[in-house]
Amino acid sequence: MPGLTVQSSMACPICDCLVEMPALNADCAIYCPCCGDHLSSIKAESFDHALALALAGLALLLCATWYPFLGFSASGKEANMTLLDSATSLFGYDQPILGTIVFILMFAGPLGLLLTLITLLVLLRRPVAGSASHLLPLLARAVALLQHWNMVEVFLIGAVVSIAKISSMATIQIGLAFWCFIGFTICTIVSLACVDTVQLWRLIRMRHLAGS
Amino acid sequence: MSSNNTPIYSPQSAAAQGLQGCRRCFRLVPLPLKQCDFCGAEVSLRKQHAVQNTLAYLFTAIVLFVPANVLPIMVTSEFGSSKPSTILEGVVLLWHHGSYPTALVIFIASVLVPMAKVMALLLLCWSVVRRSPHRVQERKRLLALTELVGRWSMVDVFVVALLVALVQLAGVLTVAPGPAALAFCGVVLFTMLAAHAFDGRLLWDHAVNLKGEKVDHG
Ligand SMILES: [Zn+2]
Repeated sequence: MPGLTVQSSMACPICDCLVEMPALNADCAIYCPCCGDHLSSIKAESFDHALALALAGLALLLCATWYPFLGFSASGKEANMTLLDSATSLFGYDQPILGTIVFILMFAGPLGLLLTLITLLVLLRRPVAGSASHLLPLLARAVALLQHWNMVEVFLIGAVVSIAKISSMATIQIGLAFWCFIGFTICTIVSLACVDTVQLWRLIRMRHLAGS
Repeated sequence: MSSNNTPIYSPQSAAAQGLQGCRRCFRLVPLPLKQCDFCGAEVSLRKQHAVQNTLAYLFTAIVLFVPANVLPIMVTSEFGSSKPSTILEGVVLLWHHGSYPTALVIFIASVLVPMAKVMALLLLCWSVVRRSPHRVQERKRLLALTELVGRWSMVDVFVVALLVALVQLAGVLTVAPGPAALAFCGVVLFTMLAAHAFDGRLLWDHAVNLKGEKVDHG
């Protein structure tokens, strides 16, 4: 990208105030002087923490899809479900649109989010060659989109509410996958909290300038 | 209608300098450009037709809110007899069974939050159209809260999906999704799109008094 310069200021996304940004590696938080909103935090090794947590989250998500999620028994009969059943069984009731939306929101979206986040953070660990540096903005864009529609914690509360709703009617067995899903949710949320978007794009620009 | 439609930008703002803050990568892009010179995202001083787009999504959500509450969200079949229930019937049933926390979660997430969210966004749109210079901080917090709580309304849709998958004991107890589930899912997604289409920076324009000083900056 010819003519691309490093900028030292940014516009506050909330109130559009022009803010002078301090240099990287300063270990501090920056707030908008006009509206007081948090703009960016610079913390040492936060991207490494995010990567470790995202990898743990990915492993836990795979476990959560493999093992039984919840079990249910009443009147001597028993039924088990896996995590993905909550989307696929909607197809059986002629609700393909709802089934697809639920599948994307609780499985495909979070899985894609973790995979793109891991790829991005791994690539950012060291300077990359010219061709790979073009991949970085695309990955960051995908992460932002998937993060906006990420609803893993909402799904977890939904599972807790479901258990509370039917525990009076039947006996519920909480499967291994349920605990894995709780771990996956915590890892995903904390991992995303470690990634400061402003610093992420700053780093991507630095890699880009070095790569081209 | 006022004689000029050109917005008044605050002197501290990037827009007053002819700089467009990229919403995706935070780069400052000078005015004639329509695309960010780094990430390629569309840039503008303020999102184009932000209020109109927000209102269009909100209107869709309001229309969907009717079937979401009138039609059954799930059908429970116990020993051969099926019993459809709407969102509110489900809340009342939970309350009678004594599961007050669950009833409250569903009521707040499925009834209160969507309605409050639609009203908050309508209020924000109206304040922008009216060019209100007042209570900028409060309106900013209202928008942030709207964006924060919006996703939580999805709880009821996930509860239906989970119960449909879990409660499948043929002849004893089964749960089937009702048509309101998809309608309610639409309500949540369209209110989220509405909040996303709005441009919070619009709240800060016109928050300038005649001396050119910001009035409501806390
Ligand atoms: Zn950009």
